[in-house]
Amino acid sequence: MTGPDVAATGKGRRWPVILLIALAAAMIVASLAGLRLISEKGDDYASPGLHTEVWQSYQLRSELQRLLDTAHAVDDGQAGATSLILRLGVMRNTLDPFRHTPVFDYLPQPRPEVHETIERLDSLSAGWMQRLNWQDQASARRVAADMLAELPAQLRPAHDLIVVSNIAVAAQLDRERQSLQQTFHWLTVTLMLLACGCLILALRILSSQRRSQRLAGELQALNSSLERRVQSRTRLLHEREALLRTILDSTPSDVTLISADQRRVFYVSDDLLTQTGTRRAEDFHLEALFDNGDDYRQLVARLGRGETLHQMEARLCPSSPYWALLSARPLRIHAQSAWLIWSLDITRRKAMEHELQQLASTDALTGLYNRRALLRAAVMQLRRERRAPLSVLLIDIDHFKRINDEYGHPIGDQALRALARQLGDLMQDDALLGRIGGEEFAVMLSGMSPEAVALTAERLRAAVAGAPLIVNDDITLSMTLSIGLTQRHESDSLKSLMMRADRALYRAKSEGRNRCCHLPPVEFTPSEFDEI
Amino acid sequence: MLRPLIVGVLIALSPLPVRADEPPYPADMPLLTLVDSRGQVLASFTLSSLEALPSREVTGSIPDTSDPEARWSGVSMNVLLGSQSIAAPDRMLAVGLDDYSDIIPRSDLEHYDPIVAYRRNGQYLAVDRYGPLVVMYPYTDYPELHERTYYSRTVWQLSELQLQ
Repeated sequence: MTGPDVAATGKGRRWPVILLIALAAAMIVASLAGLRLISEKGDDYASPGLHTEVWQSYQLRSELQRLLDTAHAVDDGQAGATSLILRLGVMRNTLDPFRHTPVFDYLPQPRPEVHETIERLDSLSAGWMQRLNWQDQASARRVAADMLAELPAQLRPAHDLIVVSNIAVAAQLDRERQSLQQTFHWLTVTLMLLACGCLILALRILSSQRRSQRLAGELQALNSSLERRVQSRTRLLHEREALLRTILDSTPSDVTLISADQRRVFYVSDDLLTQTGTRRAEDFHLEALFDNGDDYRQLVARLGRGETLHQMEARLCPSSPYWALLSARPLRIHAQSAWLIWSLDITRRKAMEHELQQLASTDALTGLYNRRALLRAAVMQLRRERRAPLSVLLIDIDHFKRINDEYGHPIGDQALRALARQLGDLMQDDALLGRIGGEEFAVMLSGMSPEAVALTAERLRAAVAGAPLIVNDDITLSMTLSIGLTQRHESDSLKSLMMRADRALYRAKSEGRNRCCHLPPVEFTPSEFDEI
Repeated sequence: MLRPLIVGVLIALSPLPVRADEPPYPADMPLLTLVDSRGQVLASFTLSSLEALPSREVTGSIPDTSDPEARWSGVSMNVLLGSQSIAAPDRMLAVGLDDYSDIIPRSDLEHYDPIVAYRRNGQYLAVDRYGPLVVMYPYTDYPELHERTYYSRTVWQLSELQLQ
């Protein structure tokens, strides 16, 4: 629906409302008018009506006759002034209402003779009344004579007065009847108008109610369809979420999806919950996962800078730490910054790596460093403590070939292992021990004086020479060692140091074996190098 | 509406000169007779004898006339009968000088105690002004009296009470 359409509909709807208001106003006005009419008419009928003129005209006619009779009696001397005054008074009193009554206005045709009759009777009686006195009998007789002369002629007009009064009262009653009837007409019309108005209002209310019911029905239908749609969407969302959860649950990696402020945990693998001793995902804390707080801080800092992390190694699960490979990236969920962190348990890999390293750097037979590892360890040592004195012992078993030839290689190997054990027992803990050739061993000692090193070498040689080795409980091997030793000069490289030690060993061999030969440290010169 | 008020105020301000007026008929003239059911005269009252009895005042107007409401003084009918030691009869026929009559039942005497009035707003009533005596009900005190029944019992120019 476009804008103008709405406006037109609005205007169209407004008209019935205005009409209804007008109708209600008209009904109120009609009710008020009816009430006013009823009130006015009610006032008219609040007290009993008059309409006594017919009776009064009869009375007047009758009193005139009685006055005439009394006048006769007075004239005859049978009655006195009192009777005449009383009768005249009564007659005048009966006449009095006619002087004020408006009843003759209702006559269809005016009857002026009636008013004349009333006037004449009034003036006559007033004159007589003035002449009469309660005590004056003479004047009473004179007045009685006048009455006898005048009154008979008034009997006929008095009779006419009765007739006219009757007509007038009848006319008045009919006028009142008509007026009443008209009132009833008005009231009927008003009531019909009110009834019509009520009908219209009732119909309007009915139609409004029906319309509102229809609208309510439509609204409900819309609502339920909306609810259905929402339900299906919700179901779809739930399904997707469940799918995602299944996928995440079944990945070999552990996953953490957490808001960047770490207030909300969207997802965390059950394994991680177990490892951190957390029962519910909401209570999961990323920091608690890390064995080393530095790793955690590094991760958070890098993610905070918006970096994506690949293959970061870290120790997880402080209660039983293991190595994990972390990949993490920031992303947005529901317009909120979040971090997705994958962690893969690489304990086995790490162990294998360690094993490989061990294999690469260790002599398999004796467990000591091999040549390469020993040299690397020595380099490391040199880098760490450049100024510390470093001594080297090169140890060779005298005539080892004979042992091999005489007892076989396994016994030879046992001899080598036994020497390695002895080296381990005799040397200080931070000494670097290595097997650098078939029956040749090397020991690097740091921080010891040349004298102490020489003493140690001598002790070793004496211990091996003085204690024959018993192998397999029945073979007794007597071994001797030739040991060349030297100290590092500050100009020495590792190579030159080793060469000097080798020269010392060579000298020990050449001087007759089973001895130690010490070459003091000298400044390295290329000529010396050439000598070899 | 205004006129009776002014009249009332004037009467209230100057009651003495009005009261001092002579009645428009002899004070010793018989005005009212009490008659029993057989026509036997039981008592007769003049203005003097009526005025000798305790007076009672009611307000109202004579029906079927244009007279405004007025104060009527006279003798309570109960007092009137009591003065002659007559028990209130079941019915009394009140008869006027013009031979109009209507029956006043005992219940009216008990409920409304109508009076035989001889003064209207303090003035005696002439015979050609509905006098000398008028049966008057306390219309103002009892609005329910505004019915044809009581209007008919308001007999003016009262001359006789027949006990029945």
